[in-house]
Amino acid sequence: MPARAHAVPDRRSVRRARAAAFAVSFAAAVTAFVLFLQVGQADGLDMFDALRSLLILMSTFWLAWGAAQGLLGLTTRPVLRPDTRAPIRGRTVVLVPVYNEDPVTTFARIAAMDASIRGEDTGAVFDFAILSDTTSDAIAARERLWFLRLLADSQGEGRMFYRRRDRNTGRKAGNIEDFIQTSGGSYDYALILDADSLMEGATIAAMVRRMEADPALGLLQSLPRIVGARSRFGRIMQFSASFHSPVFARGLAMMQGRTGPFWGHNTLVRVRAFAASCGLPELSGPPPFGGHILSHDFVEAALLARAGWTVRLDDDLEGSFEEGPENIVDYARRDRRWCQGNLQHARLVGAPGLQGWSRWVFVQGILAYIAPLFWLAFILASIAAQVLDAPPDYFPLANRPVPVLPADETAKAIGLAVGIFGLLFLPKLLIAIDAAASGRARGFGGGGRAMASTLLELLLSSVMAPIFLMYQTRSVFQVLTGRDGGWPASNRGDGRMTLTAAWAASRWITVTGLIGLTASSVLAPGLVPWLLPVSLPMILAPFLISWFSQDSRSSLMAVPSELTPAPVIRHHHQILRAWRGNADIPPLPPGVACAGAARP
Amino acid sequence: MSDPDFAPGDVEALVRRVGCPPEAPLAMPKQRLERPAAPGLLARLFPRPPVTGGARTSGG
Repeated sequence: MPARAHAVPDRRSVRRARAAAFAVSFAAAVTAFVLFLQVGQADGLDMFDALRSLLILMSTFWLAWGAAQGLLGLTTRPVLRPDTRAPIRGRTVVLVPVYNEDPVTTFARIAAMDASIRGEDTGAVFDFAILSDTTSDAIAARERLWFLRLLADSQGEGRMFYRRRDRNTGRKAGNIEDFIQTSGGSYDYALILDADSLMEGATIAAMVRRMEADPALGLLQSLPRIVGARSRFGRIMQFSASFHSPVFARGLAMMQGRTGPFWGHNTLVRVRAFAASCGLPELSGPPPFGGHILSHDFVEAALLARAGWTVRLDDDLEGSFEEGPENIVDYARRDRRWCQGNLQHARLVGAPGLQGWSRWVFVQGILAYIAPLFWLAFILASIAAQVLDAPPDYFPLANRPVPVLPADETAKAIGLAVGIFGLLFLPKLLIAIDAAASGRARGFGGGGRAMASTLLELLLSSVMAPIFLMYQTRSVFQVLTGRDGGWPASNRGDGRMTLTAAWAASRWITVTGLIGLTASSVLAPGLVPWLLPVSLPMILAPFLISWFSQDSRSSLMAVPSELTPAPVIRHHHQILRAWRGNADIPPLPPGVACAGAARP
Repeated sequence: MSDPDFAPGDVEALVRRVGCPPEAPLAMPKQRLERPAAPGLLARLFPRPPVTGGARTSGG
């Protein structure tokens, strides 16, 4: 029997999914807590055992929450949303906010998307508006020149617009708001993009049709896949975003129901709903916790849901792409901004009228940055326990000369470690098995290669994890001590880093790792073997950062966008070649032809 | 790679003329996200009398 088509999981399924995820996470956390207490009790329970048990409780909850999302995605049927060819009645504007970006690459994406939409032959209005917040006059001058080239090549006069703000008040959210306040009345829908977004015309048209089919739908989020990665780091992220993320996203969509996410780009909004619900105020007090809302997307999703609109993640939409950072340092720089934005949401958890799930989304964002610190605190508490704990008393009874040996709890300790690593690794391994069984792995070079890629991704992610832990720790401390990270432009170009540059960006991690390892070898030598997986990557951070930033030539980590690039990706390359000449264009992967005319 | 060639000086005006988005304002009211600050305990126990205002009496 064919499954019934429906747009959003029904309320009962959503409640069940949430209850299951919470139950699994609490059960895992409490089990880990009790096991660690029992291990600590073996030689007498002390303050450090209690503290570490609490840290294990919180860390395990967070790990299990992520794992539950993956398992939920694996065990639920995808929501069916059959696409129609219904005529599109509304007018859509595609918004492309830019901020000191390379205009050639960005505007070539617009040309590719425009051609792709026109190829759909919907007969509907799809305008483009480039919303420049560029602060550099030199880059702005190039934006104007390349805008004229874009207009000429796309015959875009009257449907492609460009405006630059004198002051970038409110950053990206303020940029969008400014457009809606001046021109929003002309449009029914706005597709919000980032400068590195690329979407198929068919996907954009499908999103508009879905919004027209559901008058209560205020925001429709697609799941962007990372494309165009060349470095080792970039291709790991790209593989994970293409192979694992869709399953996690399906689990997320099941839990969120009508209170879905907004990730800030590759998203369609109903303009009047957005205008009526999403005017963001400045928060009282100075940054980082006051001032403009930095991570505006989560807040706008919460505000739309507060106003009664459906906010939906359609994880079945293909043809939605973005680019990602090419090295660890660029990733950490972006993460610093996100860290500040998410911690700022602590001010909004209690905002009046929000739905409970929206508040929990804010808490999750905060936990994503705080939770790694629990592991760091656990390591520090373990070292302190070794130094400060009294040695076990083998003769606790004064009149009894027979020693009382601590109970052997090794099995429980090993069980606990296996459980925690299981939460980390099992969902991704199961996704690889599921992909091989369902045939989805074919797009990733086959089941064997996808499994090998998954294993390599797990290994390399574990190597990088201590470096990210340090960057995140620094970010959290900077925000908590009131340091505003500002609004640095994204580095979207070639991310290769020399050893010298990597050393400059990470020497403090090396020094911290060396001090930590030396201190523990003096104070708690028994812990050194356990600390090596954390301290060695820290000490080697500059080498690792540089190595991960170099071009990848591996046949592993292959993704569909490399093996069979979407038409809009090919077209973007063609336009870039025509605009720039061949010299500056990164080649498509071997075996991918770039045939056809250069003009859109 | 070289940038497209247009007559210098004209570009800004040209872009403003051909690139200006349509004028169709839409109000975007600011949303309330913070609860108004609650008065402190002392302020609640000992509210200050209003400096001006109060019940008006006729007096010409």
